[in-house]
Amino acid sequence: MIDMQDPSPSDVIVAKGLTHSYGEGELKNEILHQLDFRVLAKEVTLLVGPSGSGKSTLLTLIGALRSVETGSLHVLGRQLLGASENELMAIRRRIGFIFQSHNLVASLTVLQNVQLLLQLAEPDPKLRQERAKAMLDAVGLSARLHHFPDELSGGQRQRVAIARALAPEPDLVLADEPTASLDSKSGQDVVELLGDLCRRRSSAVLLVTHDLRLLKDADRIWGIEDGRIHPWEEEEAKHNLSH
Amino acid sequence: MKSVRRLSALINLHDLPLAWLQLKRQPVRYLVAVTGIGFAALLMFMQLGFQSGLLRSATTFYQALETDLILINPATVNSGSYQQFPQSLLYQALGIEGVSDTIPLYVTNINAQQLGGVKPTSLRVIGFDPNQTILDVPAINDQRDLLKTPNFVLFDKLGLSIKTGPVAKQFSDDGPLELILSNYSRSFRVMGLFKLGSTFVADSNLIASQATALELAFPQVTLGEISLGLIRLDPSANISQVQNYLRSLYGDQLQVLTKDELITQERNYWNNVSSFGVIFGFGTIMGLLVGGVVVYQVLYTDVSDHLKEYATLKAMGFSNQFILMVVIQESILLAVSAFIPATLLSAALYAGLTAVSGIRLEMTADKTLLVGSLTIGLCAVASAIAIRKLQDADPASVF
Ligand SMILES: Nc1ncnc2c1ncn2[C@@H]1O[C@H](COP(=O)(O)OP(=O)(O)OP(=O)(O)O)[C@@H](O)[C@H]1O
Ligand SMILES: [Mg+2]
Repeated sequence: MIDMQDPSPSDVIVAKGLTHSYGEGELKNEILHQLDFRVLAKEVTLLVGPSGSGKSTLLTLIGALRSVETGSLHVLGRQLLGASENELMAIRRRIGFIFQSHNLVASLTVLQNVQLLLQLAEPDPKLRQERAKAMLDAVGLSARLHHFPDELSGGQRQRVAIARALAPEPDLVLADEPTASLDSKSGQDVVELLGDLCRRRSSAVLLVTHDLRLLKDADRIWGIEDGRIHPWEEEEAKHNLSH
Repeated sequence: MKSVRRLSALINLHDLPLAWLQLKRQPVRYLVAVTGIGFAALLMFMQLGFQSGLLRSATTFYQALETDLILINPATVNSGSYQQFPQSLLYQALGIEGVSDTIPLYVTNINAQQLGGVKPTSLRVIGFDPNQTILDVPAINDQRDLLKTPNFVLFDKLGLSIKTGPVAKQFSDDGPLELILSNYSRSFRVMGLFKLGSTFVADSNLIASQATALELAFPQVTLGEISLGLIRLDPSANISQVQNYLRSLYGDQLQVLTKDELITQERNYWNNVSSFGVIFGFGTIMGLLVGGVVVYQVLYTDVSDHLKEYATLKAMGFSNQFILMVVIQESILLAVSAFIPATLLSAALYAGLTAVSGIRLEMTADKTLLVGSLTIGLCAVASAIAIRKLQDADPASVF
C-alpha cells in the first residue's frame, strides 16, 4: 500500500478515505468505498476497471463537478470537501476535461470550439487563435478548422475534444475513455500528446480506459473494482483481460 | 477599466459571438422566431396605428373649426349624433363683453347613393352660412359661393374610399354629379371636392349651406335647432374669462368648451366610453402574448437542445453568467431582427391603408419607441422564464 502522508508539492490529487454514495435514506447506495490514492505531476496515470465500478463517478469528484461528501480529496492543492461553488469553478478552469462523448458545441466550427475554451485562459484573441490552430495541428486537424462537428468522423470529433482540453495547458487532464473511438495509431498519438503535455507543463494526466494497448505508455496504473481502488498488478491484467 | 474589460469579455461580441452563431446555425428556427415576433410587433403597430389614426380622423372636423369657443348640448356624447339646442341660446352670447361673433352649425347624418348606384353611403352633412368662413380648409373656402345655390354641396374625397371613391372619381372624370337620398325623397348635386378625413360616424363628409342641409336632413333637424354654436372673441378678449362667464350664464343647459377641450372630450369618448379602446387595447395585448409565447418557445427549445453543451461549458469552468448572457443575447438578437423589418413593413402598410381608408396612419417616434420597448421587454421576460431550464444543465452529467 502507498503511504498516506500530507500532500507534497508533486501531488496533484490526494484522496484519503474518499467515499461516495448516490441516493438518500433507504435508497442510499455506496459506490466508492474509502479510497486512498494519489496522482503525481509529470505522470500519466491510468485508472482501469470493469464497467460500473465507479470510474466516472470518481472523475466527477476529482473534476469538482460533484460535491465531495465523505473523506478528503485534495486537487491541485485545494481541499474539495466543503468547497464553495465558486472555488469549484476556479478549480475546474485549471483542469482539462475529455469526456466519454465529445460534447462539442455544435454551432461552432472546430477552430471556434477550441478558441471558446481558450477564452478562460488567454485574454488576447489573436493569441487564442494562434494557440488553437497550433493545438489542432498537433492532433492532425489543420485541414478541418472550419468544419462543424457534425461534418467530422467520430474519431476526428474526439480529437477536437482533446485539442480543446489541452489547448489551455491545464495542470490536470481528466479523460474518460478518450481513445475509445480511435484506431490504435491515433490512440497512441493521443497518449503521446498527453504524456508530452505532462512533462512540458509538469501537469498530471488521469486517464480512464479499457484500452490495454495503452498500459505500456502509463507511468502508474490504478485498478478499481466494486468501488475499491488498488495498485494494478500484472496478473490482474491477464485476469481482467480475459473477459 | 477592469470591470469594463470583464463586461466586454462577458458580453463577448468581439471574436466569438456565441449567441449569434447559435442562432445562425439553425436558420429555419431563427426565421420562424423572427417571423413570429415580427408578426406580434406588426400586430401591435397596426392596433396602435389604427387607434391613433381613427382618433385623429374622428376629430379632424373639430380640429378645422375656426373658433375660440364652442357651445354644445351636454347630451351630445360624440360627433355621430348631435342633440340640437335652440339657436336663441347661442345669440345670448352676443351680449357678452369680448364676444365678437356667433355662428350656428347644423351637423347631421344622412344616407345617400349615386343615381343608378346601389351602395348607400352614410354622409355627415355640415351645414352653415356660406358667407362665413368656419373651417380651415382652403378647398371649402374657395368653393363656398357654389353652396349658395340650393341643393349644391361639396364632397369630402378623403372618406372611406370603397364607398365614396366612385363619387370622387366620377366627379374628377365627368364633373358635377347627382346623388340621391336612400329613401329617394330628394337629390343633391356635388359641385366640388375637398379633403377633411373619414370618421367613425360616417363614410364621408358633405359641406352644404344651412338651407340645403336642413332640406336634406328633414325631418330630423329643424330650423332654429342647431348642433353646434361657434363663438368668436375679440382679439383682446381673455378666453378663459369669457368661457367662465358663459358657463355661469348657461349653467347645466349647455357646455362651453374650447376647441382643445372639445377634441379631448371626443377622443375620450371613443377611447374610454365606447368599446373602441378596449378592442384596440386587447389587440395590442394579444400581439404581446403571441410574441411572448413564440420567443419563449424558441428560447426554451434552444436551451433544451443545447443543455448538454451548456453543461459541458459549465464543467469546463464557464460561469453561469456566461451561459445566461448567451441566452439573453439570443433573445435580444431575436427582438431586434424581428423589430426592424416589422417596423419597415408596418410603415409600408400604414401608407397603403392610409391611401385606401382615408384614415391617416403614421409611423411616429412614440409608436416606434413603444412597440420597440414592448418587443424587447417581451423577449426579456420570455428569456427570463426560459432560463430556468438552464438549471437542468448539470455539469456532473457530462462524464
Ligand atoms: N447519477 C447517478 N445516480 C445513481 N447512481 C448512479 C449515478 N451515476 C452512476 N450511478 C451508479 O454508480 C455506479 C458507478 O457508475 P460509473 O458511471 O461511475 O461507472 P463506470 O466505472 O464509469 O462505468 P463505465 O465503464 O460503464 O463507464 C453504477 O452502478 C451506476 O449505476
Ligand atoms: Mg464511465
